[in-house]
Amino acid sequence: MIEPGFEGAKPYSGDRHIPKPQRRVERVISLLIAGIAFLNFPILSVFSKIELVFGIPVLYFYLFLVWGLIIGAMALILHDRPQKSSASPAEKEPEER
Amino acid sequence: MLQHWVILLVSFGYLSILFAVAYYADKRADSGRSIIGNPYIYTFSIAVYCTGWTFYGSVGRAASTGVGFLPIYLGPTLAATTWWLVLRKIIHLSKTNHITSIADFIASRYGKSSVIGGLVTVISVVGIMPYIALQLKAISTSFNVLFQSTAEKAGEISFGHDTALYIALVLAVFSILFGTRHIDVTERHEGMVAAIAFESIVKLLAFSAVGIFVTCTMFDGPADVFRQAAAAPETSRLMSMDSLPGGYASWLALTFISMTAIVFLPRQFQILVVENVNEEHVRTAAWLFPLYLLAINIFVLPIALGGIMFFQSGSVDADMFVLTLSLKHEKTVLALFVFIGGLSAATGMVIVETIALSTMLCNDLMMPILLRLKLLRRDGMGRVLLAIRRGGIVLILLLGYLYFRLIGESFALVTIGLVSFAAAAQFAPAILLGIYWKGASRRGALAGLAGGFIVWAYTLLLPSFARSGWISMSFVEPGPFGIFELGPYHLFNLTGFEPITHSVFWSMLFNVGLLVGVSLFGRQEALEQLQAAMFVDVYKKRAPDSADAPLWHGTTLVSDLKGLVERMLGAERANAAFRSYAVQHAIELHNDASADENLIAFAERELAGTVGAASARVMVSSIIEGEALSIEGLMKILDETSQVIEYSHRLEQKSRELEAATRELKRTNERLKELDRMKDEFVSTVSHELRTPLTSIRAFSEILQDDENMDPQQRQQLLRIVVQETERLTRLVNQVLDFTKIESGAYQWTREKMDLVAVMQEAVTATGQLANNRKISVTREVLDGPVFVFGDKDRIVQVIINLMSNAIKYCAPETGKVHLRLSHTANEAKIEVIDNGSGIEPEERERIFERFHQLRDSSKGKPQGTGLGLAICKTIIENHNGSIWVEGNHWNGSSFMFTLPIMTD
Repeated sequence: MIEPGFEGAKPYSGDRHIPKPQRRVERVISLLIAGIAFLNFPILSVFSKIELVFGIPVLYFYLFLVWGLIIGAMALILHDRPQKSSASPAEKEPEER
Repeated sequence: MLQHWVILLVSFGYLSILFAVAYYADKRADSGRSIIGNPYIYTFSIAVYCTGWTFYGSVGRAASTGVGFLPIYLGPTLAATTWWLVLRKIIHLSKTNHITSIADFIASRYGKSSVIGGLVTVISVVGIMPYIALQLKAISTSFNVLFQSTAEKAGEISFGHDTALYIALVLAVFSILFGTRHIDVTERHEGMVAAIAFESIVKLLAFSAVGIFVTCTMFDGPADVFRQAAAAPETSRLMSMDSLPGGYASWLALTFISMTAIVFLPRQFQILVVENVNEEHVRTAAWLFPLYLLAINIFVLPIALGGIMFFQSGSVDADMFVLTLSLKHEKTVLALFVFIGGLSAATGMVIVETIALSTMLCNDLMMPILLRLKLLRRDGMGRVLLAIRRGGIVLILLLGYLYFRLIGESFALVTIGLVSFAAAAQFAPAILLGIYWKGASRRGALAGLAGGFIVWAYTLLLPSFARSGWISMSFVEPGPFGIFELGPYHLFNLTGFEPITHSVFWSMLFNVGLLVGVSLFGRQEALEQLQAAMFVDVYKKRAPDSADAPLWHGTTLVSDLKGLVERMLGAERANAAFRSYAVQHAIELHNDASADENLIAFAERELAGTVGAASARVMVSSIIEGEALSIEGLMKILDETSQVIEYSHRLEQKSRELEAATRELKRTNERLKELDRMKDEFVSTVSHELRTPLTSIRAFSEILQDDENMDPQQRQQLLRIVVQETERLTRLVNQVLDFTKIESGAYQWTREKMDLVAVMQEAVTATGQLANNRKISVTREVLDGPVFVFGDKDRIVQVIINLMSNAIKYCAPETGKVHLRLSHTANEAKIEVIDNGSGIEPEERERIFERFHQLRDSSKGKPQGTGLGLAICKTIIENHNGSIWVEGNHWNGSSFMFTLPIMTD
C-alpha cells in the first residue's frame, strides 16, 4: 500500500520534514488498523452485556461512539492541509495526456 | 384511509419526480452546467448502498440478532478509510482507461481479456440476482402491507403474489428510461446520479421520521425505549453479542464482505468509480458517506425494540415494522412517506444495478461474442448496443423475479442480500492484488474468480434452491449422496460456522489461493505484462507521448478509423472527437491519409468508453491491415533493451571491481618490490658486514703467518684484533639466527617473574662500555619499588640493550645524552629510551620496525647495523603482549618506548 501519497514524495530528511501526503497515508492506514481492532473480538466482548449508559445499551453506545470517532478522525486526516491544493504537487497526479 | 389509487398515484407521482430530477440534471449537463460536480451529490449517490435491505431489512435483522445489522455498515466505514489510497487509484485508472464497469476494469487489468470480462459479468448477474429479488420482495411486501391495511376495511383482494412481477416490469421500464434513453451510449449517466442522490435524501428523511415517531411519540424518547426493553427478557437479549448467530466469527465475516461490497458490488463500482466526476470528491465522501450510514442506522434498534414490544405475539413480520408501526397508529401520511422512502431505497438500487449489469452484459459478454461471430459489421451499431442493453435490463429483472418466486418466502431480507455480498467479495482479490501486484496473471485471475464463484454457488446459492424445493433438501443435510463432508454448510467437515461465514471462508481461500498460486507458477503474456505494469504504476510519470502509441503497428486509413468510431458513437460525437484530436495535436486529418499509431490508440480509447476495453481492441484490430498487434515484437525490443542495460550495468560493475583489484595489486607489488630491495640490501649488508671482519681476520692472519720474526708484543696485538673481529662475526651470525628463529616460531621462551628495575640495571651495565667509549652520558629514572612482569628476562634485556646501543650509536659523541625512564599504570609498565640524536622522520617511524629496514642517511653514508635489531625487538615485545613504538621528543632526538603488561598475583 504505497501508492498515491508516496509518489513523488521526497526521501526522509529528518523527522520534521516528513512529506505531507506520506504522513496522510500513514495516518489513514493506522486508522484502519485501529478501527478493525476496536470493532472486533475481543474488545467487543467487554461491552457485550445488558447494561444501560445514559439510557442506552452499553454495546450500542460503544459501537456508535467508535463509529463516530472514526468518521471524525477521517475528516480531520483528509481535510488537514494547511497549504492550498496547488502547493502539494505530489497529490496532483498527472492527467491523461 | 388509504385508497388503492392513492397509493398507486403517489408511487407513480414519486417516480415521475425522480424522472424530472434526472431530466433536469441531464439538461444541465448538456448545457455544461453540471449539478453533480460536487462531493455532496457524489456522497449521496454512494448512499445507493442503502437499499430496501437497509430500509426494511435492518429492523428485521435487529429484531432477531440485536446489533447483528451493524457490520454491514461498519465494514463500509472501515473500507472508507482506505478510499483515499485504493479507491482513488481505481478511479484514476478507470478514467485513464475509459473503464465502463467492474467487468471492464478486471478484464482491462488482465490483458484486456474478454474471457475474464465475460466471467465477471456472469458472476455479477448470477450473484446479484438474489439482491434484485430482495428489492422486489421489499417493495411488493410493503405494497401488500399497505393494500391489506385498506383491504381489511374494503373487503377487496390485493394484487397478491404477482405484485412483484408488475413491480419488476415497471422498474424495468423505468431503468430503461433512465439508463438507456440516449442513442449515444456513454458510460456516464448524470441524470441517474442526480436522481439517486435525491432518493438517498428521501429515504434518510423517511426513515428518520419513523424513527422519531417510534421513539418520541410511542415512547418517551430513546431512553424510555431502552429502559422498557431492558426489562423484558425477549428484548434485553438483543443488547449483547450473544443474540448474533455465529458470534464474533460471523461479525468479522460480515464486516469483511461489506468492506468489499461497498466498492465491488457492480452498482457501487458504477457510482463510486464510473460516475465519479472528480477524484478530489473522494476526500469528502470518505467521511461524509460513513456519517450518512451512521445517521440512517441510529433508529434501527429503537424501532426494532419498539416493534417487538408493541406486537407482543410476534405475529407481524419484523422486516415491515417501520410500515406496520405507523399504520397501527393510524398515521397514514407517515406510512405513505415511509412507503415512499422504501420505494426510493429499492428503486434506486434496482436502477443503478440493472444499468451497471446491462452495460456489462452488453460490453463484456455480448459484444465480444458478436464480434467473434462477425455479426456486427453494419452501420448504426449504436442501436444494436441500446437494444442489447435494454434487453439486458429486462432479463436481469426477470431473473430477480424468478429468484424471488423461488425462495422469496423462505428467507428474511438480509439473509438474501448477504448471499449477493458474498458473491461481490469474489472480485476483491482480483482487483486489489491486480492494482498492487504486477505478478497477478490472467490465468490466475481466471482460476481465482472461477474457483471462488463455484465455491460460493455451491455453499450459498444451491442450498437456497434446495430450500425452495428445486433440489432435494438432502443435498443440504446431510450432503450430496449422503456424504456429510460434501454438505454445502459444512464443507470438508468444517463445522461451527453459520452458512455465510463458512462460505466466505472457503470461497476466499479458493479465490486468493488459486489467484496467487496460478500467478506464481505461470507465465504472463506480453499484453498482460504491459497492462499489469500500467495498472500498478499508474502514478509513475511516463514520458509524454509514449502512452499507448507503440501498441499498434499496422496501417489503416483515417476514414476507416473514423467510420468505425462513427458506427459506435454516432457521427456527431465521432466528428467532435476527431476534431478535438486534430486541434490538440495541431495536425490536419485527411480521410485518405493513413492513420498513425497515436490516432489509432486514441480511437481505441474512445471506443473503450462505449464498448469496453476488450471489445474495443477486437474492433480496432479488425480494420488494421498488416500485423495488427505488434506487442510481442515490442516486448521483445523492450526485453532486449533491458537486457543490454542489464549487461552494461554488470560490465560497469566488473570494471569497477577490476580497477579496485588493480589498485590493490599495484600496492602489493610496490610492497613486494620494496621488500625485495630490502632483502637485496640486507644480503649485501650482511655480506659486507661479514666480509669486513673476515677481511681483517684474513689480513692479520696472513701477516702472522708470513712474518715469523714479529715481536711478541705486536703479534699479541694482532691476535687480539683477530679475536675481536671473530667475536663480531659471531654476534652478527647469532643475530641473524636469532631473528629467523623467533620469526619461524621455533624459539623456546623461558618465562619467569622478573623485576624491570633489575632488568634495566643489567642493560645499563652491559652498555656502559659502549657509552663510555663515545663519551655519552646515560641517566636513569626508576621507581622506588620493583615492577614485576612475566617474561623471558634475557630477551627483555636484549631489547633494552638494543634500544640503548641504537641510541648511543646515533648520538653525537661528547654531547650525546641518553635518558632511561621506567613508569607504570595499574595494568602496564612503560620503558622509555630517550636520546638527543639525529631523530627519525615521522614517515619513517612506522617502518623502522620492519625487518631489513635501515635508516638511510646521506650524511652517514652506508647504513649502520644489520636492519634486524628493531625487528627483533618488536617481535619480542609483541610476543610478550606489549607494544613498541617511537616518538619525537623535546631534544629533537627520538624516544623509543615499549609497554609490558604488569604481573598481577
